[in-house]
Amino acid sequence: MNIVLRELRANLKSLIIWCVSMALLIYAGMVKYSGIAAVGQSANELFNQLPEAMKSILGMNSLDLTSISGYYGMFFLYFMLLGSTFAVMLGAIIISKEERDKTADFLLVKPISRSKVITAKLIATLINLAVFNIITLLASFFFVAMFNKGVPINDQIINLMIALFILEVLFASIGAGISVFTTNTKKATSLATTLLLTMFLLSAAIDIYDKISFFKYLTPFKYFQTAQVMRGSFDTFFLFLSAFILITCIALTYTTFQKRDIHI
Amino acid sequence: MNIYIQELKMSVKSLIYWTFGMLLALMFFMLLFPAISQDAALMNQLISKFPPELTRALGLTTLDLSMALGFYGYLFLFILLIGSVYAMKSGMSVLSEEIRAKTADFLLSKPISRNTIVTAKIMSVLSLLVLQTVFYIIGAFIVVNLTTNQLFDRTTFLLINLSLLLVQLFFAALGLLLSVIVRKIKTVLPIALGIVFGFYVLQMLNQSLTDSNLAYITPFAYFDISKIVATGAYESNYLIINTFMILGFTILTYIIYNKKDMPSI
Amino acid sequence: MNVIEIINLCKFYGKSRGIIDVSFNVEEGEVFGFIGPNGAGKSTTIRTLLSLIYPTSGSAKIFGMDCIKEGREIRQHIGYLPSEVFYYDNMKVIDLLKYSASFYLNSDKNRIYELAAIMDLDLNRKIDDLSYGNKKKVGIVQGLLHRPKLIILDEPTGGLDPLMQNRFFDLIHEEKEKGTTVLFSSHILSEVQKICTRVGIIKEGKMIRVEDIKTLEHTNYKKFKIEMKEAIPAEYFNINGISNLDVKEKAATFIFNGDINKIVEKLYERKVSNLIVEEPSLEEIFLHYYDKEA
Repeated sequence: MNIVLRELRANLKSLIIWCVSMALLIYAGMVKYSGIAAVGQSANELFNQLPEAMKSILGMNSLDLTSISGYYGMFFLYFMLLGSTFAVMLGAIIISKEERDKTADFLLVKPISRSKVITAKLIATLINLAVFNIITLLASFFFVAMFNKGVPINDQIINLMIALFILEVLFASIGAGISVFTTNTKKATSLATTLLLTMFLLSAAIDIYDKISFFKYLTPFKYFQTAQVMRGSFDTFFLFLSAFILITCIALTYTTFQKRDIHI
Repeated sequence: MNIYIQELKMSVKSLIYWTFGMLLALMFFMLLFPAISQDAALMNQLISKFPPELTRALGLTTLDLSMALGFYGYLFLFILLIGSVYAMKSGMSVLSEEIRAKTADFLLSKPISRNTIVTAKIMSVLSLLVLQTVFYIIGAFIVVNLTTNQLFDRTTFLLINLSLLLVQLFFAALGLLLSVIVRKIKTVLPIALGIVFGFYVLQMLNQSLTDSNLAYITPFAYFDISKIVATGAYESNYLIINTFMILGFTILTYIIYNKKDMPSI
Repeated sequence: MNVIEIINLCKFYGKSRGIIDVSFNVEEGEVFGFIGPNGAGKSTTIRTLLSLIYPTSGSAKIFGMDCIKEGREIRQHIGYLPSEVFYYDNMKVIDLLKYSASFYLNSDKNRIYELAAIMDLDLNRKIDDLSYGNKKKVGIVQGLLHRPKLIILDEPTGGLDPLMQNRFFDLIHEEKEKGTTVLFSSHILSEVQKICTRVGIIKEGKMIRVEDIKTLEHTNYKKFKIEMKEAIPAEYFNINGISNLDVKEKAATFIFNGDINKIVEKLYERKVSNLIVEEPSLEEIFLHYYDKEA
């Protein structure tokens, strides 16, 4: 418990910065929406004439962009990018920073097992992500309501936030998995960034050219189809895949960190 | 000179990785070009019928995606984002690394002025970015020629790609300034990612707002690819702003670094 | 009873040597000195004991429990002061100490204030603003506040001024009186001499010798300083048992290990103008060891 509290305190500043950025992003998105809404329903008919691949490039496939929910859904891609960056960095740093700051010789000589240390740090990560998501949720409620002239879309927002949370937990576990295999934070964050950007670009490529959609198993950005999630249904296969990756990464984190030498 | 060479030696590996990564991403996207160019031609016709407010609000591109250069210009945004993160990271770490690695006392106790240190390090970052641009342009030229047999205007192609360096310089200079303002930076990459994404969000906002002054704040707005493709030139007012920003950040870096207290080891 | 039992401990970092076949025991209540030059493997041994790193082969036990398997229980009763101290920069000293205390069952907040007073440590400053010596003080308080049964000190006095060094040695002495076991690693021999009951000498990853400090100091070794009326021939002191011989014209110094009568007989042959016989310092004995083993 002491480690959890200590981690929460140590991460507070960065958490606040990320929450503020997210709120700003949502605000920016909604301002953008007001522009489209002004054009009105006719815009939608125009969109529908576009070829599927082109709609994907523009990030507006199968969603009604003039409705606020469709528009919010389009923006979800950016939420995923921001949220997963936050999560993967958090995961990559939270364990490895003890070696970076050379405090590992302080913490790990305490009468506590290494697995307890990891558990505490993972709990702190989970709490950070939960707070980040709650803030995202509240900011979404608030800014959407500000620009929404039709029916409230809170249910859809909640569904998307659940997907976002799962995605973040997944990325945090990937980050943690990476960090125990590398010997320092710098390598861990570089590797995590590379992986994240590759996955993001891969998902963008799949959008452009659907014949390579078999790559979708490789990028968590494709695990949650926005339109489907907004209806409140999750793809069982991808949920299982997420769970599988998550459990594998966490298990590797525990077993590897348990066995490895601490370098300072 | 010794600092400069040492810095280059330490960064050459990551330079290769990043440049290679950018080219790989480009290659991947360009391979998709033949598959979508027909769809894109159809879209061009449709979009031209859209009301201009809508195209603007959506940030819809006026690039012709059916043309090699248009498609290249469109996906250049991804390259720009990766390059910007690299530049920001390089600028931010070059001076602060000494504090992280606890070598500041070592370096600053040598008989050299802080200005010499800053100059050597800035020159090394500058060299890295120039090197990257050169390698990238050569690589990109090969990739584009491999993936399409369309003819394209080489000057415009060069202009698009040079904007990479100009945006990178902005981020590198900003990174330098931030690294001397903040007392101690523990991990560079998350901050660099966050800031670059932040500027990108500003750009999205800028695109959808008509008559916005936001464009002056974010370097992503300084070099509008669709305008470069259309006119074959940069917009001079933004070019000047970019130059002033870079110079301003750099000068402030010198001033602040000279007065900075080094945290003890 | 042995508090520490190390059997054939080996640690390689890839191919490079950490320690090779290190074996020794530390008994309950003793202060064991662990001596060797930089890079000899002192820290490697200690970090293995704390299961910060894992041995390539061999085993180590503390309180009769395996260091790796039962590390958690063992660490409940260990106080550790690393050679270089690093703590969370943005914490205040008192917060760090309370955080440290929160890990132990029998932590007593008053002990923090007591130790801080002895070590003259300002509890309200930020870790980041502390000097090296002051961080070291934090390390000392942090290592002692939970009244450990075994204290492991890795070159503890670096950065402390002589006054603080004395207070620190008093603290360790107090702990020793209470029956606490201490493993004291150092390359400064005089400080080991001051406090330790036994010493182990490590060199290039190998334990060369473990000896009672009194055996080392008294029984065998004598340091001779001799001046004669006339110049001394270079090979004059070619006697078994002499080491560290230094002859300069009429003066000679050496360390002798063996029957002292041999030297007395030898000196009888010539006119001696000055003769000093003294206990050699540990330093000189070790130099002798290192020469011999090299």
